[in-house]
Amino acid sequence: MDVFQGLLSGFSIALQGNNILFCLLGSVLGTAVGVLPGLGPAATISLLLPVVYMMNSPAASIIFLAGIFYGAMYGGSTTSILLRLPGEAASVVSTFDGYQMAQKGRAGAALGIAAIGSFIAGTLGVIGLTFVAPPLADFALKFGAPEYFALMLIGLLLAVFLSGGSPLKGSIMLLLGILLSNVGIDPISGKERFTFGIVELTNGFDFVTLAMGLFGLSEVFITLEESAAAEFVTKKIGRLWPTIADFAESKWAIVRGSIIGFFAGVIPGGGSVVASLVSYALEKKVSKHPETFGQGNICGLAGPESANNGASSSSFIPLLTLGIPCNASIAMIFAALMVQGITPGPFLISEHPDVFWGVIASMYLGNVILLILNLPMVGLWVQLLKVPFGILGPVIVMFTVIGCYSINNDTFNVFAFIAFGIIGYILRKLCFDPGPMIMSFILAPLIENSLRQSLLMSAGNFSIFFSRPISGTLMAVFVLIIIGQIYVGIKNRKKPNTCVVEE
Amino acid sequence: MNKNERRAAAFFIVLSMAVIYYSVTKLSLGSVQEPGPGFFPFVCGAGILLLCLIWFAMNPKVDTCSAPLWEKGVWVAPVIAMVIITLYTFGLDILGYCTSTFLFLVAWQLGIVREKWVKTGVIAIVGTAAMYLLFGYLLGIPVPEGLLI
Repeated sequence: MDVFQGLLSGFSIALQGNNILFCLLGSVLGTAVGVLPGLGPAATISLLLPVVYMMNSPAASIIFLAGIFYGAMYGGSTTSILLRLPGEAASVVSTFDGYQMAQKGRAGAALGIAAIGSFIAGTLGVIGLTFVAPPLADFALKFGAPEYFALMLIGLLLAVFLSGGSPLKGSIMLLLGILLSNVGIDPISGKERFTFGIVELTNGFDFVTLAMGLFGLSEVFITLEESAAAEFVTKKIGRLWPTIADFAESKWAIVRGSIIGFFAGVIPGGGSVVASLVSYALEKKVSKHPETFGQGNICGLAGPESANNGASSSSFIPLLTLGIPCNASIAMIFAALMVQGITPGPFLISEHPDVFWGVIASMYLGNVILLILNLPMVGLWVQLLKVPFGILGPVIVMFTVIGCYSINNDTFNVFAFIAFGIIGYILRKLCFDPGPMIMSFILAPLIENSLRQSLLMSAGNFSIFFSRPISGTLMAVFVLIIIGQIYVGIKNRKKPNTCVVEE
Repeated sequence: MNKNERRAAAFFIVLSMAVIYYSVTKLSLGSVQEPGPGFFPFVCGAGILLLCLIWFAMNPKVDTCSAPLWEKGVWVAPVIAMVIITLYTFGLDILGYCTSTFLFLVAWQLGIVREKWVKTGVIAIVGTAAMYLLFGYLLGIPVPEGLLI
């Protein structure tokens, strides 16, 4: 099946009534999540994982969750521009110039250019995904256990180093995630590990419980600490369509943002936050008037907004072709696929073309839906901020509690969820990013199996990772990343510690 | 490295040593040719230990200028929420879904939001009914049953 045939079959799946409905529902929920500060896409997807258990169609469930993920990128800009309140981490950069534009009475133009830039970059990202994913999946078919081990090692390492926080803390989280996934029966020897005689632990911790606790419940605790009092800078949004001059000024910023976003999304750990930061820095550098950045320069909004949407589309490439989730939200979608009995990776395109092409086609559709949702209905989204957390908080808790209960119809998973919520809250207070922990938890069984298989293949000789051309190259990259990070770490040793915990 | 980070690093050192001890004594490490069930946990435990030691070595002095972990009083609402959610979970099996959900909403509104009694009652009744209808009827999830409903 070539790309065009695949895409056509994908559209025939995405345009089925229930799939359009799930795409719309995901986009609406995603936009709402993006608008509401505190509740990010990773937390929301984790909260909705139990719903995926009940859905019979794998394509529909992934279309739904993907809609939430890229919808959040669209919605995040609204509160950044109107309230200087970023709905999710990738929209922080949009507050710099977007809010200033709103203060100068150009809120409508800011919202308009953010939505149009997001649409263009999101669609270009999906076009890239359509054409890059199939050949990459073909190439990945050549991978054996040593290549997968090396690739997953690089993926996790980059996720730690590029997430913005302390690499040391990120590495500890990564190893803790692997340890947590070791709880239960060892798949090769059949021996119980870290169960301490507790029957419920023989199957290990459930991913949904861990994800909902670390992201969803800890988010509730963090939000309870803050008073989310925000004042509108502008009562009137005004004309939504940017002027011809606005388009002319920001067109290259959108193109550059789309390209940066596409490449940043493919790199594990890169994602939307890195994409928006890099785009802002680049726009400031190439601008003839860098002094106007931070004072309402439209390029300072158009570039980063395009970049974070481009990244959200392209971050599906490693998931769908290599089976490697490159951020916490994508790790949740990885888990949703596993729940549906589908292993993401190079065989996905041949074994489940309906899911592969259906999800890609739905992303074209989702971008159009989001443009419609975000431009004319912007006033409606802003009203969402009026829902008090006194109502929203307990609703989230009740959803998650019943979600955990429904896994095995007992309260053990609910208690585990509360424990993970408290652990997640404390970790975030100490500036430990739980993202790498989630990613390593989900990849740990694959890493362990590929390591053991590789060592069995080579009769215990570790040179197997260096002697094969692909794994050798990957291991060389791995070593170079570590050396580079040690060098950067020594160079920055005297700088003060900063706390970055992103979704 | 501030005081709280030192405490966290010390905790992780103790945890990693316990993992290493457990992997060596209770699980089999196996050989390099054929790694046993304890091999991977051992490597992770050793990795955490090494990282924490590097962390200490790189930051030998305590940073006394850092901000406290919690500003005055901000921990109260999250701790009350933790207690309420834990009691709610115990209540699910003992009292049943509807009763425990009603009590959970009352406790949340009075303990965290400091809402008035009448509004609390309305939110609790409407919230319980809505959740029961959604999960029990529309989504068909078997909700917990206890002594009451």
